[in-house]
Amino acid sequence: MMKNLYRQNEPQLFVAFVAILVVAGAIFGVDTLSGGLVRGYAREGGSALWALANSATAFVTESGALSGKRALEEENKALEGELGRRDEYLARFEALEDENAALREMANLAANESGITASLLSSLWSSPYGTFTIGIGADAGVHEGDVVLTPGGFVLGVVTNVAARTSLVEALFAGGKEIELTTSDIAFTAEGQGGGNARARVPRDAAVEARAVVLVPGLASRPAGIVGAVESASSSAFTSVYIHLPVNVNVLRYVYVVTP
Amino acid sequence: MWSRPNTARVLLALAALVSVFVGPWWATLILALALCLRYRAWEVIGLGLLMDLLYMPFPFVLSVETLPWGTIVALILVFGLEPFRRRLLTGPSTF
Repeated sequence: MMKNLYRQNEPQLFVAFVAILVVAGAIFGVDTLSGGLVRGYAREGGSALWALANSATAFVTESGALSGKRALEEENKALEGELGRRDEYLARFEALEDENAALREMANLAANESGITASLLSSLWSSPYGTFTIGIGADAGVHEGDVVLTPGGFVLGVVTNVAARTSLVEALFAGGKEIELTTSDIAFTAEGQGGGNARARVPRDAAVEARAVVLVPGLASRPAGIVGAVESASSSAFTSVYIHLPVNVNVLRYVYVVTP
Repeated sequence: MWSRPNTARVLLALAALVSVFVGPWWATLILALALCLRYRAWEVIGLGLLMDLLYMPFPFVLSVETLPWGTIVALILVFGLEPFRRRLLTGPSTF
């Protein structure tokens, strides 16, 4: 009896498999031929749900509905620590901004910073491809290849697909992605680790220091992150450099899209 | 023959759907795995397809670097786990 059921089911399963392959292939085929139209519609549809989820999250976190007294005390301590770190970051950032401006001028890089602020719809952690969706698109003048910056001016990613009112952004440090970077006149290739982190191997004698700013030469030498740690084993000819964005990408709510 | 889906399956599928939009991708994977281990869950293929349509940064071309991995993983979960599910966990199912 059970064997008969298996035999009856196998052809159905195979037909279902082929049918699903055909349907999925047709969907991706139409999307490819139309230049990402299907993906654009999917994201337009999803934007309402993302907006709803973001509103709910903001309501819960800002109202403190889930916070107890002890949690609030801990949060207060953490915020005080954060404030101190921010002051330190601010001073460091101002110095780096001056240095960056001088370098841009020297290299004659006329970077056009005109752009538009966009809300972040989907979180980076939802995507297995290291991408996220922002709430502006072609209607607002966004194009493929536009650079997306954090509020502090660090490169977060590049727009890869544009719909009418949403755009998909691929993070610069998406997992497995290789990026050409420079720091202190040392050029190297880093590998994205996701979550705003990257890792690189540089020759042991290269003078890479922790807290140095890392630039992306391919994107008008904009800053892409900060060297968090430098590790070298005595037996290795290379030094491991760990790079990270100075902001937590999972809590970002707004980004800046540089439009041409 | 179609049978009436039970509450646990509907809840798991809804949780996976919400997770596609707002949860971490690995949570969606775990929920899809749970669905496929217990049911012949065709909806998992829809979830994989949706994930690719929402997040895939490149147009689909037949190349390892531009494959829709969400859909492929969903197909592997649904069809690859089917023999295991039928023989060890739930027995034959037509749904």
